[in-house]
Amino acid sequence: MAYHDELLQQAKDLVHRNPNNPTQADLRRSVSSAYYALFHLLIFEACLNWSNDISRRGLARMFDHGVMKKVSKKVTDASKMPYAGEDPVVVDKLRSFAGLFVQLQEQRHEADYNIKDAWTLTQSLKEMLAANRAFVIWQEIRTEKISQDYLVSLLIRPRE
Amino acid sequence: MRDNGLVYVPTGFVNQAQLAQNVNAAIRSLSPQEVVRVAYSIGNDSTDDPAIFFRIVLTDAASREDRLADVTGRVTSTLFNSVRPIENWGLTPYFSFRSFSEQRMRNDPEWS
Repeated sequence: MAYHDELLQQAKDLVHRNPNNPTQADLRRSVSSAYYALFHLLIFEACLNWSNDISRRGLARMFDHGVMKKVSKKVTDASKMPYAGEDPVVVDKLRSFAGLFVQLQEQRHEADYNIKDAWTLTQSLKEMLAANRAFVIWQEIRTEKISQDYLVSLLIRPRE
Repeated sequence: MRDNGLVYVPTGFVNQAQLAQNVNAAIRSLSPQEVVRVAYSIGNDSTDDPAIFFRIVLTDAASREDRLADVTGRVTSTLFNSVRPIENWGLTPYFSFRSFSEQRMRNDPEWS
């Protein structure tokens, strides 16, 4: 099983561990694992395109959460990324995927750092399901040109 | 810090009254069988970009795990497509969901 698949499975296990009385640690770590599952899925997919096996580990270290979020936000904005002439079904799916990435990164930040607000089972379940949905969408569009372009763009800080 | 004060976004100040009108119209189109209430606030997200944070309380029936993905997807799409927070307001939307029972137990004013 690939690392990103293990992380998604961990998110599912943690959120289901004690449904009648879930701990804050399980709920928050589930959200964190759900985000990191998506983060590592994208790194894995991008590195598959790098033919030099030895350099892949180095390439994987180049990904930056902030840049990935900025790029993904841009993809969700039709005025900045109109994708003219592209298949609208694929474009919609890529926008949905990018939106889920942005949402999950923000929720991961809340889950890991905001101790003031307690998490509920529904909140954590929803984020785990969002990551699961993103995995499904990605499988449907991963070979499309705009998806491959998106992978490359995740390494490049977008201009403001 | 998230609040509903004036928030500066790249395209100018958010007109809170106009935004509220827009959001309330979107909320009215949600199914009462699924959604109990929607609260929202404007602030900055973790990367300091202007954002709108929706907090949605679902009915207990709509919060069941076998329905949650469908329901949250539908509610998110309705709010996103009606409000168009990115294109119309320069705000990145975020959506959090709780069940009615969870909110009743916690009585969190931000969700009321």
